[in-house]
Amino acid sequence: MKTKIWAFFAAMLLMVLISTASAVVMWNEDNALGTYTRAQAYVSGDWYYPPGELRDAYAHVKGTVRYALPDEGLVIRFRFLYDGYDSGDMYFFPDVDEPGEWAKIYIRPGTVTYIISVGRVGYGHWQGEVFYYVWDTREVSASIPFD
Amino acid sequence: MSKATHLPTSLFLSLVVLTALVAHGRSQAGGWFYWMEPGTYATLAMSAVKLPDIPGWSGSNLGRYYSGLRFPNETQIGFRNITLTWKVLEVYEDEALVNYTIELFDAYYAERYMGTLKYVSSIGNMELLSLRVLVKMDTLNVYSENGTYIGRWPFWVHGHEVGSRIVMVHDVLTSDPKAMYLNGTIVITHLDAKVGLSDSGTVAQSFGRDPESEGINTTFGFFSASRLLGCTPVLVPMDSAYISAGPDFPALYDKVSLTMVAYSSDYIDDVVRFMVGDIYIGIYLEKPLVIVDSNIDFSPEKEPDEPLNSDNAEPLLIPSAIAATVVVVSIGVSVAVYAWKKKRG
Repeated sequence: MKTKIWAFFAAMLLMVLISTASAVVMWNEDNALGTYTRAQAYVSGDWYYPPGELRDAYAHVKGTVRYALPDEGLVIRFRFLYDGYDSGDMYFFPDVDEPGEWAKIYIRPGTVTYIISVGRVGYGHWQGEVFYYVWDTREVSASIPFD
Repeated sequence: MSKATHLPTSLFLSLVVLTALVAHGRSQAGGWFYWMEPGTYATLAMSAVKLPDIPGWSGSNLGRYYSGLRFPNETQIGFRNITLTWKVLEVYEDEALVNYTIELFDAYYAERYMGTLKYVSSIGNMELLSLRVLVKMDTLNVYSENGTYIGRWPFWVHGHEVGSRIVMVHDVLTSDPKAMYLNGTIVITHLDAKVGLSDSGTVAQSFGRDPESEGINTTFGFFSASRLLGCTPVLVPMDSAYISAGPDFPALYDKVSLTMVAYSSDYIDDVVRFMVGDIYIGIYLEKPLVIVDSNIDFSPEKEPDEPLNSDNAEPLLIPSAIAATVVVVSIGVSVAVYAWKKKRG
């Protein structure tokens, strides 16, 4: 009886080890420098294979002010995609304009089969009711699994 | 010809003259929608190349490698190219009957696969929609032929809308940016696509750029930023920051003809919503849309002076009405003189 119990625990331990061995912490990022700003697309999570899923998935688009902006503030365009979801193109205008300051927008969708983060950074201001902006960086994108 | 037939003939002639005068007044370069006449059309299709950045306009292909649309029931249709065509069929006093067609080329049923589309089976070329709609020229509200309100006509703008916010598309099935900002989650909901309409030349200048050298190339030549009106995103306050009020509608309009000449990112409008139903985000486009065919004369450079709406339609109509009255009276006098002469032998 004792032998059977030990065999059971040994099998359990082996299964845990196997499943742990197939889990990998993964991340991917893309960075771009503009004249005044920096853009970063970032994704991460724990990749389990099998079954081929990313647990504790996370993605962000981050904008950083490198040098004093020639305008009122930073603007970040972001878009996130995972499994059946797509945020569409969205804009974020944080209260950020000093060198070294940054802002990011993120999602934490839990367990997914893939995740993609796309963004771009520029600067702008309001005039009347219209938002004026201009891009400073190229578009950045990061994904898991990798492209 | 008997005298009895003179009056209807005169009235008919005066009606013809009045119509011609109104059409002439409307078609003057520098006039509002100077191109507006039956038969005028424009077609937009996907650009073969990525378009350059213009301040206030994305001009990006978003790094996407497919085009398609996705219905809430998960039906996915991919395609290689797309055309959006509008054609004026009839012009009435304050509205136009327009045929709007969207065609998909090399369409195929697809499955979603890792953020892209996987081919399942061929459809071939297909007409996504073809509909005759009535567009009110003063409000740009669009109605079906039986009078059902559809929403906003997206292919034309009014110059007096520059500097203001416009609901360009209603109730787009999209994600809520506030939920993303607050919780890091995507919540699917319906939101209006609001835009701020801006003068791209002014925007370029405000960033120290040359509005004459920046712009887009089309089959109709180079549209510089100084000749373009661009849609910019509308943002709403969230804590100390601002975030998108809803989905983007990144269109560029020619400042003279006031018609759409380019569009970047996913495409959706109220007629698509009305005919096709909910599609998620919009029609995904691998490359931006750009005008490829039209019989509009883009050579005029004079911008429209005043909008055509109920408040200032009189300047156009009064001279026409006076002219028509003169014609009617002239014909009447001629008839009277003829009858008087004939009576006197």
